[in-house]
Amino acid sequence: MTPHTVVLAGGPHLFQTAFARAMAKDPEFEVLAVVDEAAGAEEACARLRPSVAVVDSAGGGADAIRACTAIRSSESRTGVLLTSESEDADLLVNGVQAGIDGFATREDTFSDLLDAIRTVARGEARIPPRMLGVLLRSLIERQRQEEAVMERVSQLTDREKEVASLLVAGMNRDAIARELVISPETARTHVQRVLSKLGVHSQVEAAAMLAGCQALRFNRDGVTP
Amino acid sequence: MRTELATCRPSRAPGLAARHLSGTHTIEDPDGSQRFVINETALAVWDLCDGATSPAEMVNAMTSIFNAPPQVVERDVASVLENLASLGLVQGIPESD
Repeated sequence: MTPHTVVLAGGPHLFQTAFARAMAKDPEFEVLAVVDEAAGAEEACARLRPSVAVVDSAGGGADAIRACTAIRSSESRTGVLLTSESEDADLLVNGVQAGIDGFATREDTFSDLLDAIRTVARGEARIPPRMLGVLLRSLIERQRQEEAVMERVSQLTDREKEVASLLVAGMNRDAIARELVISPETARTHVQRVLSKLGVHSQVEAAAMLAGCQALRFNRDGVTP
Repeated sequence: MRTELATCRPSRAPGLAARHLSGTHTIEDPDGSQRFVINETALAVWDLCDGATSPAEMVNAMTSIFNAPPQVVERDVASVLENLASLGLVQGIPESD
């Protein structure tokens, strides 16, 4: 039987060590690497191509989510199991949107964690059943918010979409004017129209609204769905 | 999923509540005269029947969670909703032809 190969990334050192030892006793699993930080998961998975990457959110969920996104975006077929100290609904929603295959907590027994790895290795989803309701509601609410943002973006002209894209890139009005080779006054007018159409009051709000919408793509030519 | 089902806004039948005891989920009326055992996925779908959420939205959310083709998720959600409606646990599900 070919063992499920695993990379462990992030998480308290004692937990990682104990969990790796538990897997070492089971011929069904082979730990290829134990990486201290979630941020190192992408490189380890690209190099070793495990069946499953177990990425822990200790030290900051953002690093774990970035790692999960990177692994799922790669051409590898590595399944991703996101783990956390406890049931964190926001982390779970972010993880699902990053494309994770499963979620578990360090409160689970090692037996349950191994079962979660087996499930993900089979290509199946593994979400704690008691979190399904809150996860579905959160995903539906996020989808509605994104649709509302996309509706507002559809009302921007092509030039205003260019300006919106530069706002997301962090440019102020003067920088936008230089980039688009227009006068500062014209840039100011475009920015004000973008803010008005998006229904926000500041460039920071506009950038946050647009950057948070996963359905939008930004490039130098503007913002597109 | 038929269009009239995808776009309806089902709601939970009034007076019912979900309970969880010893690993079993049930939906019951207040005096316990009606009691239905339900699995977690069906319970999640029942809970989403708030009169504002469409089955299409439920399918989109479930498809992003489960590694299953969208048409499989559609079929399963439609089946759950039609079963819940036949038991009187949700309202607003259009009848199939």
